[in-house]
Amino acid sequence: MDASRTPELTDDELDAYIHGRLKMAGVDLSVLPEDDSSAPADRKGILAGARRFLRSTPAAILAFEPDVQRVPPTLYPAARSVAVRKEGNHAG
Amino acid sequence: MRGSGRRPGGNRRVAKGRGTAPARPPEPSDGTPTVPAPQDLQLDRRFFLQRMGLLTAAVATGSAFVPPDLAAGLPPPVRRPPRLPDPRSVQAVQPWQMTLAELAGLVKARQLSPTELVDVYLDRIDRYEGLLMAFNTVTADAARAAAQTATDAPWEGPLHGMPLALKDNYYTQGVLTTANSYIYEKFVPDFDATCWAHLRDGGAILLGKTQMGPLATTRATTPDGHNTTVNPWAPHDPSVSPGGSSSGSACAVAMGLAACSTGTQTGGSITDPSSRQGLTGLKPTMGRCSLHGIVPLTYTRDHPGTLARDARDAAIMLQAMAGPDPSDPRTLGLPPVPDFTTAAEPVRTGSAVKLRWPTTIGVLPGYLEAGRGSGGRGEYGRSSRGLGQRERARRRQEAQVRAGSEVAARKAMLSTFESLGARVVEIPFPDDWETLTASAFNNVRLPERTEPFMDALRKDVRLFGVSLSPWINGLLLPAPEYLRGQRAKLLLLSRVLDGIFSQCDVVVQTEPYPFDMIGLPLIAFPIGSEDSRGFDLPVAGMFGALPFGEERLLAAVAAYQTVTDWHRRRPPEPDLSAGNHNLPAPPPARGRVDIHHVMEHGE
Repeated sequence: MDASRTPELTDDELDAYIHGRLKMAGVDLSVLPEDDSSAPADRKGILAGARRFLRSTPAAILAFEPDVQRVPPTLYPAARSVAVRKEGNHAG
Repeated sequence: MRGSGRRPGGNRRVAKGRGTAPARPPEPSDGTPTVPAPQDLQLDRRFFLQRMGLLTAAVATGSAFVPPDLAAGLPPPVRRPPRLPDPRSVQAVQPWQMTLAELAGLVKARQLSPTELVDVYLDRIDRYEGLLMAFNTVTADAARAAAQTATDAPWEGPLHGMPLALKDNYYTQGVLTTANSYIYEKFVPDFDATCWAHLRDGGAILLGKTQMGPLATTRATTPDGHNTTVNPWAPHDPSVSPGGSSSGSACAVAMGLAACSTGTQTGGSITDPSSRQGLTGLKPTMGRCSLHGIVPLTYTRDHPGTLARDARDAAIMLQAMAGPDPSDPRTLGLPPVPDFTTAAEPVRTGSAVKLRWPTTIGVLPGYLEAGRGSGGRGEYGRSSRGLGQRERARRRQEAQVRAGSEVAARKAMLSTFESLGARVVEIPFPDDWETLTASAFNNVRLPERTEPFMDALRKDVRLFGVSLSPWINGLLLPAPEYLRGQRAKLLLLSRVLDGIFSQCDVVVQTEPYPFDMIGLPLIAFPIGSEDSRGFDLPVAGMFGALPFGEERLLAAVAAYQTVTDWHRRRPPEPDLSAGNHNLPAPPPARGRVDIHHVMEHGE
């Protein structure tokens, strides 16, 4: 599990990704105040949080390299994974 | 504590063995009817992953997906009416101090009417709501009408005439349901959430809808982040978090404003406020309770559950709330609902209280070292940013005192469980634990909250108030990373099953992660108190269990609560006299959370 293969991204690169993605999704941050810590949300804080998220999360996830044959994606691991045992015969 | 890394007791190992019969529970000597082996013993851990692999492979290859009928191999559940406490045992206690089970005993015996009980709670809401801010909506008139109907009707069961508080993300037909969000500020559902419908059908009465973190994030605040609900153990100090996001649901029960309440948990939102307010909070296995009619936060991690006075009350609530719902595919094809209320009744051998089933408790590294949380997260609204050195030092001192009290309480709790017959074993963290439980994999949930709210995001991001940041971040995580996160969940589950539950039946937890991520059940319960800030605050323990291990959790905590009284302790009655100037002003004077808190502390 090695995150070193993901290069460090600059703020400008991340901002370009963020703004492009938001535009593609039709989400407009311009209605927020630019920099106002007394507001519920401002553009400066939202973008800073988004950059932190992008620096920390995708690379760490991609550094995890499971055996795709043995570890399928699973939305509900607990609820959908239980096999049932009945007097020595496994229903699973 | 005995041993290290040993396997659990003989009965359990025999029960798990291929081709052998499940362990038989001990026969109580007082004639208490037994229930079959708990469901976690009837579900074979060793086949979880094999089964899951087949299922997910079918999905991945586009094969027809048929939900597994997991109920097929289990014996039909045997349920009997709960044994309620003898009304004579609670004559000296005020109704608002009683547990739901005790109240049910009085109502059944017609020594207390639902009408009288509703009036008791409405009087207390009138008195304390201005200070506590536990509710968004109080349905006083409808509650009185329902109570009159219940008073005139024959007794139907333990929920008959019981006034409940519902978290304000549960749909309630004809009653405002806001989720403390601008998005839902005028939303009046035209149907009831399935869980509430089950409780109502059992005879429960809606007393009101409770304050919560906006869209079930953070502690209870207004949509723009101003703190509302206070912790009733320290109502004079809004910086003492009530826990989130089911803050008002916890406050209503802790202060005797309702008999019991519901909550939802995606990242600790039941266990955290329960821990901070001295309650017993149960987050069931994913799929045990329907999410139909609950405002979504994270599709694969939202869990309905209950915040209760004790394990018996939690069992009564879960008994009604649980079960398959055609409107929620997550609930279909799962093991049948067992007899939770019987599981949570005390068992005695002679005069000694015993655990209902042989139980091994796993203790993970660091649990008995100072500095691990009491089942919660950081102090909402207590940011250390901008503080001077003296204040930082004072807070460090407080934290050290609190940590010492927590460790002492944990040791005493484990010792009590040993006296009840439990085995306590140390177990190491499973392989890859640090990686698979890291925040990056926790963040995989974020696209799931973004997707159902795309219309609102495109309309006006200001509708999300203080909670906007995680919804934006969820938009930014690419699909391959999202899917890889789902693979990590499966691997994490296999590590938990093989690395933890091969050695124990329940495991201590200090955080809702990672059990919330993989849908395993959790229970939080009070085990002590601490006074690091000059007033008493509850200290909590938390156990996790195998899928569908709620009976095990309820039975264990019920036995513990039969021989301890931490769950009986209630916050002091606030001094509301005009001369008391030590009370908080209404919001916005109670402080606020900001977007950084919401992102850091989640839900």
